[in-house]
Amino acid sequence: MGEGIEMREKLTEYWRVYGATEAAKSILEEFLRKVNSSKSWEDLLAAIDYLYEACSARPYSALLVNASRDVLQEFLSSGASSVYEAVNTISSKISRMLDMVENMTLQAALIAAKRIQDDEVIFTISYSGTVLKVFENLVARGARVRAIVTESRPFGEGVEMARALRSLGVGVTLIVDSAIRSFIKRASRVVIGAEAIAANGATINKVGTALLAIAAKEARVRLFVVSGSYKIVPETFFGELVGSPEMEIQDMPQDLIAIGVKSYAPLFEAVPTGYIDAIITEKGLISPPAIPYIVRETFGSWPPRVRRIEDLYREARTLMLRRLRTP
Amino acid sequence: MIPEEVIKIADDIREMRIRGAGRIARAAAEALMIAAKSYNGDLEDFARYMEEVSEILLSTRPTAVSLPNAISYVMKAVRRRYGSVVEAVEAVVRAAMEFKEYSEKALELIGEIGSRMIEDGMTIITHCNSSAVVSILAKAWREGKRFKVYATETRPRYQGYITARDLASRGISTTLITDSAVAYIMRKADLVLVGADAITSNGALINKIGTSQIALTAKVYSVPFYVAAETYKFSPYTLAGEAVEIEERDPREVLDPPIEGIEIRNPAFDATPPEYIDAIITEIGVISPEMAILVITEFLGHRIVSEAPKGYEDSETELGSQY
Repeated sequence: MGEGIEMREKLTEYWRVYGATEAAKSILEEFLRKVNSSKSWEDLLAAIDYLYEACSARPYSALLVNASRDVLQEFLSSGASSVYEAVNTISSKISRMLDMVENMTLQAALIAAKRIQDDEVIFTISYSGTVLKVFENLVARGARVRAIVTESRPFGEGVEMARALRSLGVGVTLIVDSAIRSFIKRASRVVIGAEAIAANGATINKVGTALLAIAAKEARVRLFVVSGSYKIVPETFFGELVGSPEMEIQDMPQDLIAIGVKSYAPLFEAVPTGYIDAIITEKGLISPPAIPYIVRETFGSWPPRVRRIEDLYREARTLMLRRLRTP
Repeated sequence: MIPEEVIKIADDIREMRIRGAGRIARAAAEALMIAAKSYNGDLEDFARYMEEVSEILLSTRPTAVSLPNAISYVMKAVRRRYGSVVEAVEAVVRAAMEFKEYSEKALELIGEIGSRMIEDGMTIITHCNSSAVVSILAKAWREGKRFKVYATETRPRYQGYITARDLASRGISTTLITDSAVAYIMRKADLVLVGADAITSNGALINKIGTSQIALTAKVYSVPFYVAAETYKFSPYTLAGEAVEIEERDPREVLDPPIEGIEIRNPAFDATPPEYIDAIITEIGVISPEMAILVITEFLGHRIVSEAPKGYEDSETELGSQY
């Protein structure tokens, strides 16, 4: 009993730390707390500063940027004139959005699970809450699926993914990132989540995913991306690139640093559309080049009419400052 | 009575305190030499004793073919006829010394030949740790060529650290990357250069786990993929249809402590098909992988005669005479 609760708590913690959707959601929840406890325009300004900083620090987090854009847009168009009104507007928008994200994820996972047969071996990479939801659906259906997971250096999220899959009752094989090609033929399908999806259907995910995609293509194993449509980055329609944070390998031995060895550990990378067989969102299973179709459904038009987050933030800030000075 | 020093060398190979196909081969030759020198029985029993020692050495690690090739070379001396123990021991010591000298000379020659293929301004990716690769890069650097090396850290045992140390201590610009970042880095690379644990008779490369996906990625990005390998890493047994056994090591190398209920697989090597290999740099010259058969038959002198050889005992190995 106690162990089960502990496991669930641990799981929640891992989701917060490791999954793209979960990481973005936890930032939005923190923002919501800041908004709900706002007593003045100063408090609200601090809250949107927090949100904008989070977006600037994680420009690759499509969900975070998309949600932030919606919130700022909602605030600007509401014409809220009092702190109370503004708090209500932003707060209810965020709550609705968090629910929507949850529903979209569930729906996408459900569609993906339908496509997977009962005895499949699914190769996945890194930690993805959305992919876990696919497995939850499969397990609930009584499917005896198995999983192969890579450890995902440098942070080892794959180990946590393996743990989470095991606690769902899925049989898991854990391998080093270098063993992808050696094990790909044992898989019937590759299923991955997404950090972001670009205009042409290229999918940005944890580093190592491109290797997995290349190996899958060579072995003729199909690769599916499962993601809510909120991971599409509308800026990419206008040529903007989705960057990847570049870090150093944190646990490199000191003596190597001393003799001038450098290290380099990009966190994300893009998988070109040619390596993706299908993208599954809450709006259905499509071919990656058909992303504009999903965009039209999601943003109401194609090309999408979206404003840059920088402009919205500046405008919202100006408006709040004006309200602050002229009560 | 097998000397403790010999048992220690065998343990060191098994536990990877002695590692790298070339070093393992030289250590095995050394162990046979030590065993011969400390022999104090009669002549009749000498061959049996040496066979026993070679069995112990052979059982340490299954994949690198340099180990049986080195043993085969030295053991050929054991199987000749001698008038006395002293004479037999001398012959074994001579063969072991010959192998070690040959092996060291081969590294130097590979360095010389391979360094000609390195160009100024190149960005080079390497995987795991290979003395032959280090020999090439060190020689090119000494010649004044300036290039940048990305070395993969090489999980689970991080042999990339050894490579980084070998290169950076010579002043070579070296950056460690995670194994997962290979596709990301490949766009910036001009060349991939790796070592070998074994090369099969049809030109496949057996090397550290991860090598084959690097080769595949290099192919996708049209980046040349070169292998540096001494001729004693070419496997005559594969000519007789034997598969190279891929060693599976302790799961604790991947995750310690392991998690109950999660299967951990830890193969130490993988096979890269010849079509992903642009060239193999050996001490006798540069060849395409498909020409591995020439090294095995013409240079090492192995042939399928009437029936397939059962193992290294029956094969004919000629080393050291022709470089």
